[in-house]
Amino acid sequence: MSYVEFERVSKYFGNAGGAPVLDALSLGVEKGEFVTLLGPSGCGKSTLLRCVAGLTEIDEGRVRLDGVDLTNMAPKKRNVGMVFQSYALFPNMTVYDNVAFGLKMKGMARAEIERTVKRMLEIIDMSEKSGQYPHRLSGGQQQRVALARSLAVQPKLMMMDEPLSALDAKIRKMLRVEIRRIQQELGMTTLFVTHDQEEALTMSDRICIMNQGRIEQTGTPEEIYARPKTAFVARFIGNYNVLSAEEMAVIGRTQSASAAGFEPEAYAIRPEAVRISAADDGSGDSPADAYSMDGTVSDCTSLGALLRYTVQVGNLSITTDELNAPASSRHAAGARVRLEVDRNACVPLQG
Amino acid sequence: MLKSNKPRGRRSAGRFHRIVWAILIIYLVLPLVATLLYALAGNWQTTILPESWTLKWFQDLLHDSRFTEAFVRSIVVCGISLIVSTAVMVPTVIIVVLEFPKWEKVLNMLALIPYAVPGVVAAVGLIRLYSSGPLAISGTIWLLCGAYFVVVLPFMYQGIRNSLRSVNAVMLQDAAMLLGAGRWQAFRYVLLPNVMPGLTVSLLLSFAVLFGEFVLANLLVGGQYETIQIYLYRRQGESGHLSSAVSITYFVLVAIISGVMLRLGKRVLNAPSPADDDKPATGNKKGRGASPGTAAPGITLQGGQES
Repeated sequence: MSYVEFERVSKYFGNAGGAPVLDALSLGVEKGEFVTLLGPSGCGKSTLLRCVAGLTEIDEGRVRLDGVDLTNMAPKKRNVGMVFQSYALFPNMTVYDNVAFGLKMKGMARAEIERTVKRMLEIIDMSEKSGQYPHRLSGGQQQRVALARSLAVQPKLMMMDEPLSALDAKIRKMLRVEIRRIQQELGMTTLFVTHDQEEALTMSDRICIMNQGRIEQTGTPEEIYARPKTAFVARFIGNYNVLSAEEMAVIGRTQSASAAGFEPEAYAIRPEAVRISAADDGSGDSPADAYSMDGTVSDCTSLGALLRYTVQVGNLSITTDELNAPASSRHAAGARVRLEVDRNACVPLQG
Repeated sequence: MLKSNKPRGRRSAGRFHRIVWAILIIYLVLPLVATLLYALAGNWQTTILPESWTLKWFQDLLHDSRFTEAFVRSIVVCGISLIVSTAVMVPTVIIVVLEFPKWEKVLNMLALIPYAVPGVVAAVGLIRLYSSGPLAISGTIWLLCGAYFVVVLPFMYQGIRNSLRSVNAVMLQDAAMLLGAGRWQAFRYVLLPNVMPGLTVSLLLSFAVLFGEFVLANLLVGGQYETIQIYLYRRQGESGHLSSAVSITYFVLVAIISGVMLRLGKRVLNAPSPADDDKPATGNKKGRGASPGTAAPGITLQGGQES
């Protein structure tokens, strides 16, 4: 039995009978684990957090935390902390009072409150701002205070609802590292919600890809990225090329899909697995364990370290990434190119 | 060309601002100054400024026990109305906004009704309704307080609701409850302090309106309970100098009461001061404004609410 247990949790729009927001969702989170719920907006990931917090009621199923059934408990008794996208700091209190709020509610002795708050402010490196009001702080600082405020009461489970989405790119990257460091230092069980793949891949122990109220796939960042199970995951997590069996047949230059052994419905090929070269050099001697195809470059975008090509092969459009090495020459739009993909780089997908 | 053009443009804009300010100040202050002069004038016939000065009218006024009594009565009626209104409206608006957002429409409509009903009509209706039956309070201050409660309903509702909206009260309540606060604690320590700035403005506005209210007071309680406005009305005919003195005294007293209320509003429940409530950006803008320090405190406060 896991530390946090979701058991067939369901939630419907409006009254029961509406479309499901959460569809019989089950998940276990171990103690000290950093689990990210990743999905497009409206997939139910934030709703799941609100259900755990008790801010939204669950229609069916139950949630357990450390063996205690939370399902019908008042929010203040649940012992869970939450960090919101828009910080939700109390504007009428200083940084110190914000962090101390939860401790005061617990009825902790004043001296102990002072000690705890000081330690928390040290952890987030905001000690010198303790007398400031929240609106004098930058977004990143406010979010750090919000984190400290939740940490201070030592919740059994920490939940973060897109905590970095309102910040600009540079601060977001810094805070990512900082949150992960604090999480590991304190061994804090964390449920993190985001729609940013990069955030999920860099921070998590485990990622749950959510779609339409269900979890499509759970796994470590490496597993999720290297072996997506469904077309949805493949499209969402990377810029995978998702090809149907018939389309694979085009690449494999076989007449019918089944004859070539393309049994699953679809395959995923990651852009960096596709090698691109000019059409006329080395034609014919492609390795035996690779598919090769000829096409026309229709678009080339520079992503800094990478060059992203969109190549038209017949009526198929394939995305490929190439390292933007100083020596390599670009293939201009309209150029004829040859693409090669190793057979084992084609990941079969379910459904 | 570009370099020399820009500052000139700004300077002429600055001059324009100053002219607008000057006109506004003249428009607002001149009548007050004229009234003050008239209240202090002894003999004033053919000259621009009075020929002789006297404090006679103020003495006459302050020695008249009817004036002080009327003044106290006005404060009592306004005080009761505002206290009841605060006690009822603060919890009501908070509960409706947080827990029953669907009912906000109803509250909104209710708050608009006082605008739709003219004072005279309301007064006649109220007298009819309350002159007999189980609740015969016609002619007492209770009926007046009740009517005043309705009159200030729009101000109270708007002020409280706007402060709740500007701080995203729902999320603050959620955050407080997750930190172990019960509903009452969340209300007391988080929601109420954040409503205070808006409430202070509402109360000031309401107080000013009620203190100067004449129609309802005259029709509902009239001679039985002489408020400051009724007193003023009755003595107007006696002497222009005297009624000028009454106006000035009345103005000064309202200003003092407003100042005291502003102070209290800031201190009670450690509400953030209006300046603190502003975003840093607005603060900067204010600093750069053409005429720092000329903005009336009431205006700054309202600005803080709307942002």
